[in-house]
Amino acid sequence: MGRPADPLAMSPSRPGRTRTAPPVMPAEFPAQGRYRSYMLFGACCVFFLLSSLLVLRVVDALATGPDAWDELLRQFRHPLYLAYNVAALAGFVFTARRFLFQLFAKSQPPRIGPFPRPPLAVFPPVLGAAWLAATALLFCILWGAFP
Amino acid sequence: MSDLRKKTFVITRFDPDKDEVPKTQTYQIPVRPDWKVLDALNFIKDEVDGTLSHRWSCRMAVCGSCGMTVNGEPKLTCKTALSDYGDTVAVGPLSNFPVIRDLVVELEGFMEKFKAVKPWILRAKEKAPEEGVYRQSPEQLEAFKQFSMCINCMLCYAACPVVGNEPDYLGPAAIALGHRYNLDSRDEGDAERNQVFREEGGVYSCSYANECSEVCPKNVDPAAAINQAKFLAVVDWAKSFVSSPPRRK
Repeated sequence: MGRPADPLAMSPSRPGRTRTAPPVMPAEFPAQGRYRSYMLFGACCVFFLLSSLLVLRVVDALATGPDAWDELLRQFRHPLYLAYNVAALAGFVFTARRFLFQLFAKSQPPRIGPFPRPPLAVFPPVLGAAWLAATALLFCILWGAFP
Repeated sequence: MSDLRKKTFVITRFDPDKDEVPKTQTYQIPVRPDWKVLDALNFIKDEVDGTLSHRWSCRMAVCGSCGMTVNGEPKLTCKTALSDYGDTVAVGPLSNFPVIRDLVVELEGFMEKFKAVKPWILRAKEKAPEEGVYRQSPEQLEAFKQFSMCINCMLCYAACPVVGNEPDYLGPAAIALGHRYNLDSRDEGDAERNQVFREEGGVYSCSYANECSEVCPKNVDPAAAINQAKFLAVVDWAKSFVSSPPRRK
């Protein structure tokens, strides 16, 4: 048996005449077996929150001046920041993979206005190619390939 | 009789007149290699313990009555082969539902949620009988056919973590059925249903565990229906500011 569910889960709006046993959650919920991937997906929102705050910090440093920017870059070399970046990258890749390759295609309705949905089989290779292209572009920018 | 083999069944029991909470009872019975889980339950009911209560009807995965939790996973017991399991099989009622007795769950809440999405064709104005039937092309049928295959077995509700945490959540099957009618070319009630979808407990309660689609015995893919409905509910809301298409309201 799983842990208790909300006592009113799937109950009728008016109680019936028969006394019922309270509902229970699925046995493996929240973090075991088939729910693990779902919980990890949800947990990755922490990385989005923290990274958004980091972006605000970067913008603040840029607005403050060169000294603040240099100080920020110095702090970013701290091992804790580097470890966070590695963990955040893993989280973002996991989220993108689950969202783009499992959710995105089948979330498209059969028609969007006058346009029919492309075949579902088209989505993974197109999204994969777009992902690779974006990654390559980002690498080129970071590498200094563009003057 | 040589192909009979003994298996142990750990079955959840609950008698509303005696028990405070469900308990388990163990049965060891001979089973045939080709038996489904439902066959074993029927054997126990007929030959071992007549007090066991479970729901079943068609025995061919059409009626959706025999949904239960088998070794922790929601399954149609008439479709689930015993040979897929080891020597011990645990059978319980569907998760997330109040239990009436043993393996029988309360359906009223489920039926209320179904009714909320108006799962029937809504028209602004009905055609007179002499005007003929509403015609539909194979392409128009294809747009929603997958979502019309639901047999209301409630396995998706038992697998969904949101259902157990948010009592107001419409749930996978109801939303899939509402979405099925929204996609139906004969229907004009999408504004009404999208209103329900956008409310508290509607489509945006879904956090995409995808378990509804994983356990669906008919490959309806309710998760796809819910996430399509999210998109279309927003489009419908945005369109309501600029135009008023012919609708029932």
